[in-house]
Amino acid sequence: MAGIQLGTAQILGARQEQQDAFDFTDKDDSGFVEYGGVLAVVADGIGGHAHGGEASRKAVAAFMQHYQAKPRKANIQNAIYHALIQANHAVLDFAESQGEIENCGTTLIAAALHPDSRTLHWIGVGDSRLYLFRDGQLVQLTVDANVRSHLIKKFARGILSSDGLDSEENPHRLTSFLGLKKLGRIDRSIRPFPLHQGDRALICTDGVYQALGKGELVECLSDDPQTACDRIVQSILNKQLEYQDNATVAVLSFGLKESPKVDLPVKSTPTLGMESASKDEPLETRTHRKPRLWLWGILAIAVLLLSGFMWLVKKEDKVVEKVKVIEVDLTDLKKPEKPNPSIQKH
Amino acid sequence: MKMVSASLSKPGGREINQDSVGCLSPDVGLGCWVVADGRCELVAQQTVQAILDNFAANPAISQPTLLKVVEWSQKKILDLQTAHPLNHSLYASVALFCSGGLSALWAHLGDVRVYVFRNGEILSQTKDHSIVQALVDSGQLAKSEIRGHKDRKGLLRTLGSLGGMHPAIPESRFKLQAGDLFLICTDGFWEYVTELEMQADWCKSPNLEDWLERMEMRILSAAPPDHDNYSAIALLAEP
Repeated sequence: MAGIQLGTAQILGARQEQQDAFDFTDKDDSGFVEYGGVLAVVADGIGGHAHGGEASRKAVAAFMQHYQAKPRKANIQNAIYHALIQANHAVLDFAESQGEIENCGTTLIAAALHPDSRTLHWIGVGDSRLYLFRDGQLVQLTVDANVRSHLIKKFARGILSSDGLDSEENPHRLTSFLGLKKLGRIDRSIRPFPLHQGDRALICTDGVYQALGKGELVECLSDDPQTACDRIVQSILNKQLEYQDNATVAVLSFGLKESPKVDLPVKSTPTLGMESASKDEPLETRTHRKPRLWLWGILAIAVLLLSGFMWLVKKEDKVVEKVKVIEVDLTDLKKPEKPNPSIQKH
Repeated sequence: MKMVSASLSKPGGREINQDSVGCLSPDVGLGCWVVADGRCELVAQQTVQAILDNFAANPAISQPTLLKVVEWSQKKILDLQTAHPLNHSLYASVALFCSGGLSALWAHLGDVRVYVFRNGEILSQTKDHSIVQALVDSGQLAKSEIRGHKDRKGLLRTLGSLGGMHPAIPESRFKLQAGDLFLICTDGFWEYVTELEMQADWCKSPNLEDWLERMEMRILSAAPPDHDNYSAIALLAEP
């Protein structure tokens, strides 16, 4: 579809397993784009608990399956909400099959650009983010569903002192994610967000924004989407961070200004998180980007071999990840939202 | 058209809230909403009250009427300065917004802003009467550099300053459409919420109260501990 470009990139970082997953709809399927736009989705399986990588891949697959089955007349906001609910069911079903109910989860962020109405729509749970890049300005559109945000809301409502804001030992602890029976704190657009020519939507996992500041992201975003994504992951790699998390980024651009054409596959499989490593790169910092079509055969074989290898490695791996812990106090989440008493309705 | 509204006014990281907000209930068909950012608590409250009193005495939506309302309020603040000669803080930035069933009009002095949104886009926003805005107008500063600029507190017009009382008022009334959205806010508010963030948060909000709370969370996330007072009134034209 003219006017929409897409880029993606993913790295393993310093982890043993790729627990991020991503996928996108076919931007050249004009029939679907007409009523479903172009959608990209990214998920980050929660480490420290069971089957994080499997959870993110299940969530992305279910999300895509249901979004692509979107009825022609259904609006995009409702369709992505429905897809998210189905993705949550998929993670719950998987967790149940593994005997890991509420001990298996993933974040998810999805953004859809609809070229005909020139609008952006999104939905997210957890701390994977959506940013909008316009005229050199990068704005975070989503709010992380973590303890910090929860405390700030309490403070705004006058039920927590300013001292209480800093009382939490792990403010980045998630308060919502896919894999919970009662899904809360969904960050979603309920109205279309109007796009301008040249706008870029960036979705990413925390492995990206914890490694790079806003300024560093902005520096990368002036290029076409695929180059931007490549530059983002390269910037992360250049930092050589000891505990670099898996990092996944997708950029959707809207506008008639055509940047250099980038070949992308018609369809991707979110499980393909490990491309053959470059000779110059160590195993733990391999970069994944969408390969050209002729590589599919080689890739399929490589994935099979690597999956087997990773399964063996995982069996031996006794290290408990410390980045994300999902010991969530759901007491507050299960209460219905009360209005902020300090905001007056007239 | 019915105008619904919501407001908040908080001290932020300060001891005293020197902002004030108020409204005249639109029972008679005309409503007036005021946001003031004073250099002291007294002048902010007096400014809001003076404008509401004057509008109530002359309820009309026209440029001359709003000009008179502001002029009378200026007189009230000058009287206050006379009564408190040792108080050198009796100045305020202010914005007032008036609406009837079909149209609206607003006026402002200083750096309290009025934003107008339609279909999710910003249709217009007021220009601050400030040194940094003058630098932008003269091409010496980019608009994006206003937030966080070291001279951003320097104002060229305020209520209470002799010779500086020239409110900006649109020449004609704004014809309302269902869904039109307005935000009147002090610099302690817009400093930490960009226009794109205002738009994005409205896309997520089922109502005005939720919109204000989302933006307030951005302020609390981004602002330093000693941040300024922040206040805002949000308005929505409903059929």
